[in-house]
Amino acid sequence: MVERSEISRDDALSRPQSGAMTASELEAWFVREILPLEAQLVQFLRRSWRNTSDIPDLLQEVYMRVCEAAQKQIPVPAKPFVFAVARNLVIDHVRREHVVSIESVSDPDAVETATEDPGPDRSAIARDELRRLEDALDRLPPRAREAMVMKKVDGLSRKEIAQRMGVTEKTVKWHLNEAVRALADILYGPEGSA
Amino acid sequence: MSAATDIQTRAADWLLERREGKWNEARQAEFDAWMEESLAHRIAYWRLDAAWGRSDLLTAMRRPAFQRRAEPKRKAWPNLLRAAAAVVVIGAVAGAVQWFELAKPAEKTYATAVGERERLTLADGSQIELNTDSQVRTEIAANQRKIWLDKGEVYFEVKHNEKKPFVVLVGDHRITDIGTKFVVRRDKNGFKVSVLEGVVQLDDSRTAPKILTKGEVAVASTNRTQIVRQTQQELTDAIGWQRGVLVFDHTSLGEVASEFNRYSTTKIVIADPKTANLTIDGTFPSNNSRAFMRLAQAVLGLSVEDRGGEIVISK
Repeated sequence: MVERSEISRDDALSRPQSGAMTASELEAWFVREILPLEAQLVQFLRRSWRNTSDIPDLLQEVYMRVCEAAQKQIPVPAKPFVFAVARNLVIDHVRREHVVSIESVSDPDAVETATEDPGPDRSAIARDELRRLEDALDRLPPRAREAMVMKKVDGLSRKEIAQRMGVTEKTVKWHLNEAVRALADILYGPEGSA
Repeated sequence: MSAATDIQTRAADWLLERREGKWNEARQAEFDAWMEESLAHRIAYWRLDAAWGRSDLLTAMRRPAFQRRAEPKRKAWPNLLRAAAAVVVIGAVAGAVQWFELAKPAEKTYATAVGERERLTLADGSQIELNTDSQVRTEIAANQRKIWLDKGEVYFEVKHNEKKPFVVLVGDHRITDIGTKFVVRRDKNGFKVSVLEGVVQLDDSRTAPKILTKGEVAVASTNRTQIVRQTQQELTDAIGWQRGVLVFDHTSLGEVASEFNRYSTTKIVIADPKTANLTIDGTFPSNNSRAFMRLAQAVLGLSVEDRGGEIVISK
């Protein structure tokens, strides 16, 4: 059974600052501050929630709650806020489903105190980024990767890709769709930063 | 499929569609409505858009491994050139009487502005493609076909006809087709002929004619002509502009900048010679130097400063 008393909902209200954001400010903030936390967030959710097929929905809900809150006030710093939201979300689900595993909501602090790298120089970051992107490309499903490379590197249209792959345009559309989603999972999720 | 995955799939569809050519106001309105519908939609879209945008950097880096995967089975005329038609046809159109045309064939001028590209089929069935900022004049007569390359770069795919030679004139040089595909590029220093298929003959008024075969490139300046041989890959890279890309292979930044500058009125300036000598590899969209700028900034650690109408790259 989870010790609920250990988890304070007040964590979620960590030191908000400044006023409301416009949609594009919110987007920029989300991409800059929140997306980079996805890998740790997914790891946290996986540790806290047994059923891995629920992870995409849980992640979406964390993002929703975080952005809803940020629309009113930007939480600074973002990271503890995000993990507090995630923790509270898991608790809510635990309550709702009356399913409790001993691992649920375990060790959230271990995640929060995860490494804060000392800033390496800019070109090293860029090289890392390239390597990560190349790895990401390698991990895409083969047909999705093929379609994506034709699209991005060769700038081909869907029709041309279809001709070259010998499939219908609809299939190409699906492969590209798959590539877009898998790329985001790999770049932001725990698999990509491993 | 989970609800979140459903939303992501829809968001990915939007993202891809927005980047295809057929985007219009009606679709924009539908997209706006979808985004407006829920914060979850917006977040899903932002996330995918951020990832897809990050991968721009990746595609700027041409690596042999990608090349192998990506190597398109090229057809002679890729149908992706949807550059707005911008060919100016100035010509003897008025009162084109039959006998007059036979006696004195109509001269036509075709030109593209900076950043444009256009392909055409000439009266004899030959096809030509004008790269950015280029101009040709054509004269297709019963016994001879003449094309003057006034400026820029043009690809020729000639319908061979022995009775009707196809001659490209560049200054005082004549390039005569002997059944072939070739590219001629002219700049202030001279011109360059690259033979992609078949054979051409290069004449000037002073020396013996030279025969160029597939893979040969003649570089002519005012007083000399040099012939070099290029690999298939180098030739393919050199005509990357036909599919809207510039391909660099150990190319100095100075050269990269002047290539991009052919395609845009916003000029890239490399501040110092040391920076200009750095070399890069990569495939970039010719009409958009942003991917290159990002690379210069992120990978080479250079400063990129937009001074309005001019982009200065420095250490």
